[in-house]
Amino acid sequence: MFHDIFTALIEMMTVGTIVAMICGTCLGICLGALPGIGATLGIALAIPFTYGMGPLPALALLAGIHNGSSQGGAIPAILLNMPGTPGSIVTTWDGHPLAQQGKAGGAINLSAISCAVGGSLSALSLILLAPPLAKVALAFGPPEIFWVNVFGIATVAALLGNDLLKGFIAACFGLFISAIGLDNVSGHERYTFGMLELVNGVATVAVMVGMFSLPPAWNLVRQARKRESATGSMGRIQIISERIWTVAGVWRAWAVASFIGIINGILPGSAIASFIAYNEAKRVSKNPEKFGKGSIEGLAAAECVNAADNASALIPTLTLGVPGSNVAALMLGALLIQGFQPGPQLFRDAPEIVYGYSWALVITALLLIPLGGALASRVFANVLRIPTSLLLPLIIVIASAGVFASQNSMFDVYVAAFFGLVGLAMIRFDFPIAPVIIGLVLGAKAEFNLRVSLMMSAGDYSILIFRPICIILIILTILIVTFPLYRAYQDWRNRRAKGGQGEISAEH
Amino acid sequence: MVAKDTISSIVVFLFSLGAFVLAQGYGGGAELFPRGLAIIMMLASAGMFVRAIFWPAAIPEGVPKMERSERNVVAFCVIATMAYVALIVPLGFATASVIFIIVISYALGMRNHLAIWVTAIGFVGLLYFLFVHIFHTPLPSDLILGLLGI
Repeated sequence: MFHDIFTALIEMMTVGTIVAMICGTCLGICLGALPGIGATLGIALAIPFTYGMGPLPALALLAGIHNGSSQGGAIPAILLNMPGTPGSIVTTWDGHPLAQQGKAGGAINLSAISCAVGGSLSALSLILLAPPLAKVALAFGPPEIFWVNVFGIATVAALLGNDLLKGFIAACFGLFISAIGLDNVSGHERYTFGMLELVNGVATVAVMVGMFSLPPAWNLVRQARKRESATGSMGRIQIISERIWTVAGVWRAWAVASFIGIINGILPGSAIASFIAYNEAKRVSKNPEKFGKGSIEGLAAAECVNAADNASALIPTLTLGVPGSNVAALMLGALLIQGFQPGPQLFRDAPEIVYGYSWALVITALLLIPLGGALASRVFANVLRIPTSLLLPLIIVIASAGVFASQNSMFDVYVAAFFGLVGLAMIRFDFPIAPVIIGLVLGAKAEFNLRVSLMMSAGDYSILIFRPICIILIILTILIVTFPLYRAYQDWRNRRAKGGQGEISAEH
Repeated sequence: MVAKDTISSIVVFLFSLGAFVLAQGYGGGAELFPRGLAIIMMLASAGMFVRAIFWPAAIPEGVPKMERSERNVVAFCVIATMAYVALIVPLGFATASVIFIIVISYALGMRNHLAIWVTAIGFVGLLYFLFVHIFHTPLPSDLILGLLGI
C-alpha cells in the first residue's frame, strides 16, 4: 500500500498534471467566487473537457476545481456579505465584519489557509482510511454489491433532499435513464423508440451537464439584480493583506472543524456541518463573545470545515462506488468516463489512479495558500464584476461545446438541453436532482449485479437476503430510509406541542 | 404546494405506468429491472397524491414561488437556449454562439457594447481554438467561418 502511495506521488509530478492542478485551483476559486455557481456546476462543465486528457491530469484538474471552489466561496462572503456557495453562509458571520473593520485581505488569507488545512487533512484521511475499507469491500459478491448500490441510492434519496418520496422518485428516474439502450445481459433494446442514438444508452455526461449546469444558469438571472448592486460597492472595500491571526489562536477551531468536516464527508447527506463546526468552535474558544462580530476562530472554523469534507466524501465513492454528494456523483461519472470503475477493484487494478487523485486533492488544497490568499483577494475577486447577463450565455456556450465534444454528437447536446428542462421542472416541483444522477451512474451496476445474483441462484431471490453482509446492508438501508420518517414525525410532534402551548397562552 | 404535489404525482404515475407497459414486451429478464422500478415509482407517486390530498401539512417546504417578472426572464432564457441549440447545426457553433451571447446580454439589460462584442467574439474564438487546435476535437462546422475559409 505505502509503495503504491509513493509511486502515485511520483507519477503526479509531471508538468501536465502540475499545470492541470494549478489551472483547476484557479478556475475553482473563480467559479466558487461567483454566487450561484460553485463546485458542482464547475465540475459538470469541466468533465467534457477531460475527455481528451490523460486520467491523472484530468482528475488533477477536477480536484483543483473541487478544492478551489470551496475557498472561492469565501471571497464574496467576506467582501460582499454574499455567500458564493451554501457552505459559505457561516463565513459571512465573521468574514464580513472583518472586512468592515478593514481586514478583508487578512480574512481572505485566513480563509485560504483554513481551507488548505481542512482540505489536506481530509485528503490524508482519504489516503489512510480508504484502502482498509476497500480491502473489506473486495470480499463482496454480486448480491452484496447490489445491496451496496441500493444503500447508496437510498442514502442520497433519503438524506440529500427534504422529502423522502420525491427523493425516491428522483432516484428511480435516474435508474430508468440508465436502463435505456441495449440490455447488457439479454441484448434486448429498451426504451429506444427505434432511435439508433439511444441503442448505447443516454450519455451520462449529457445528463449531468444538462441537469447540473443549465437550471442553475437559467436561475442566475433571478439573483442578477441583488448581485450586481452588491458588486457595485466592491470598489469601496480596501483589500489590505495584513496578517490577522496566529496558529496558537486558531488551532482549536481548525482541529474541531477538520474532525467534523471529515466525519460529515464520510456520512453523506448532512448539509449542516459548517453550522455544527461553528458552534463547536465557539464552545471550545477562549473568546466565544467575539463570534459573529469578526472572530478569527469563527472564520477559521467555517472555512476549514468547508474544505474538510471534500476528500473524505470520496471515501465511500472510491471504495464502494457509492457517491454521497453531488460532487462525488460527478467524480464517479468522471472516473467512468476515463474508463475506471470506482469500487474496491480500483485500489487493486489501478492504485496509481486512486492514490494519484488523493495526492491531487492534498496538493491542490496546499495550493490554496499561495493561490487563494493574496492572489485571490487581488486578482480573482474581480470575477465578481462579471455581469450575470454576460455570465449566463457563457455558461450555456461552454456546456454545449463540452457536451458536443465529448462524443462529437449533436444528439448529446439535444439530450443535455432536454435534461436541462427536466431539471428545471424538477426544481420547480421540489424534486432533488442529485438522486437522478446517482441513480444514473449506479443503475447499470446495480441491475447487472442483481441479474448475476439471480443467475447464480437459478432465480431464487433468497440469495439477496440470507447472506450476512446482505442482512447488514438491508438493515442499514431500512435505518437510512426510516430516519427521515422519524425526523418528520418528531417535527410534527414538536409543531403540535408548540401549537398546544400557543393555544394555552392565548387563553391566558 | 398541494397543487404542485398533486400535479407532479399524477405525471409521475402516468410516466411509470407507461414505462411498466412498455417493458412488458422485453424478454430474457430485461423487463425485470424497469418493471420493478415502475412499481416503486407508482407506489411513491400514489403516496405523494394521498399525502397532498389528505395530509397537506406533511408536505415539506419547497422552493419559494417565482415572481411574475422573474418567471418571464427565466422563460425567455430557456426559450433562447433552446433556439441556440436548434441553430447550432444550421449556423455552426461559432456563429450561433456569438449571436446567442450578444442577444442574451442585450436582452438582460447590459448596454456596454464594447464589452459584449469583445467578450462574445473573443470567448467563442478562444473556445473554438481550444477545442479544434488543442484538444483536436471538431466543433459543428460553421457558416461564417466556412465562407471565410477558416
